[in-house]
Amino acid sequence: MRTEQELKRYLQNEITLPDIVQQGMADTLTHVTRGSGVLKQYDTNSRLKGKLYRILPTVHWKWSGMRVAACMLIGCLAISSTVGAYSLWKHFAQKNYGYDESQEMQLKQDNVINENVVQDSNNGVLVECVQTIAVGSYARVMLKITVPKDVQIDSNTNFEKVILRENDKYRVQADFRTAYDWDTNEQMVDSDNGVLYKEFCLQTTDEYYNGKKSKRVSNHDKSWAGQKLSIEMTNLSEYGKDLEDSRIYKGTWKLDIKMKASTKKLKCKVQKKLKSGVTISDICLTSISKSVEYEEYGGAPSMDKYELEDGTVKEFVESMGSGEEVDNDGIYETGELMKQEFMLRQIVDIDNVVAVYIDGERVALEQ
Amino acid sequence: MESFMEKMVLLAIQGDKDAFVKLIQDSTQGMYKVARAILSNEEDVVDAMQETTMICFEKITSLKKPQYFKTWLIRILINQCNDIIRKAKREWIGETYVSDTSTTAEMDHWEFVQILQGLDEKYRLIVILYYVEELKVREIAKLLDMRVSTVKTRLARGREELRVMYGISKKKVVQRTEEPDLYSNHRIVTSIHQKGESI
Repeated sequence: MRTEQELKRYLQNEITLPDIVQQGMADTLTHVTRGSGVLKQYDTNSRLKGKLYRILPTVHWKWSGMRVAACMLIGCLAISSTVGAYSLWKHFAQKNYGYDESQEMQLKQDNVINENVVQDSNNGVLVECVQTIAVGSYARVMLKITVPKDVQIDSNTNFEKVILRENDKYRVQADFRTAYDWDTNEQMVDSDNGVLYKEFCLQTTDEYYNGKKSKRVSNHDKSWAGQKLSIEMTNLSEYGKDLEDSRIYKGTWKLDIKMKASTKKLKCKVQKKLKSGVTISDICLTSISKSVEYEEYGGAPSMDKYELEDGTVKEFVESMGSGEEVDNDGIYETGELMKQEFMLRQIVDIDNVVAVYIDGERVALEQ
Repeated sequence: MESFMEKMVLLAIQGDKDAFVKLIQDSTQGMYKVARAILSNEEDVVDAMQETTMICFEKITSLKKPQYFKTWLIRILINQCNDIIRKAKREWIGETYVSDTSTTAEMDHWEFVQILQGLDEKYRLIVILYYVEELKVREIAKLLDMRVSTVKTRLARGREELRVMYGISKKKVVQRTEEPDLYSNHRIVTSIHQKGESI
């Protein structure tokens, strides 16, 4: 393969599927054609062995009577208070974000973490903003959604429409997703108690979006401190917009959050050419973001670890990124200055960071 | 004008089982490649594909826009794959076996798996969705709940890894030559808006 077109053609070529896949799909389509029945066992390790499918569109096969009864029993025993659920979030936050009780006080004093709960209730569904974490132009917001216990809720449950506005004026983009516990790889959802945690990351913006084709531009120099973030969420449903009858609850929930943010950052001019061929120009770290400026060289540097004063090396856990500008299909001039930035799914103790690792090479940071 | 696939989707929505079967058969290759980009063994892949097929069959009557069938199918498949990973808590081990009596037909599957193995886990699915399913960057971003810029970055990096692996040529790249280390790690004030400025 010598060209990208050839690569595309190669990947699109039909390949011979393994026998197990062909047989499994053939069995499934046979059941679709004929109706209900027991899916044939094709492998002793298959989790679908003996599973009964009822092909009756009016019945949701996941909720048989026994499972509903079991869930009700578990629901009665489970923690359902706001305090209990908040403890769950707090445990998650400490494990996921990497800060302990002793650091939490300092992070709150620095306005990195803010826990002024704001809430709205509509049609029996309660939506709360339980925590914001903001440094400079980056912010992470955690929402807790509580539905009545007889409502089916899972990680796919989401609002059909979410509008975020900064100071009632600028419309802001954000990744809106179910929160993850990266230690256990579990999504933060308690189906039995009807509790779901959503999180999103966002940046301040500086361009007024009035419905015309004006471009929104993130403003990295503008802090979230003192800004008002409005979140308007409409119609809670499962699987998104395309399935109309999947809507769980109609309604609109609005939260207005007065944001606080820290401005602390670690910024270093590092003019160094690494063994991988990249010339690093500038590195900037905050508690929740990382960025690196470099000269275009035909690759993409990977700043994946940082080192603390005591010698501990930790990995950066990326959340979202703006990355390089690749509008021209990833082709750009050698030597052009590029910037790569990511929000992190963690809190970095930047006061004690002494170095980062880029493409496996240690780069010391002078403060 | 409706495409053939959209017509089949409309028939399937109206309850035509044969149309639904045809849709799934036409989508099987794509489904397999997407699932294989996420899951590490064939049993999990076929589980995900079967679950996806059954869910789609149950819910297809609710699909209002036939042109979104492929995206809808892939979204459900990705969710199923992620459920399997969470439940099993398995890691990518990239195992694949080619029997001693490998035929050409099996080798193409093995080569495909080798390509996937060579890619970083973060780029695998995006590369498959872009090249195999021919989804646009915005569609991939919506599907994977990512920012467009993140998808672009990871696609670019995935392409780069494939280029390195397979020697694919790249336009407008100046060949890197061995240069002396001109820079040292100390603070230097430079303008970041002028490319190629020497120190």
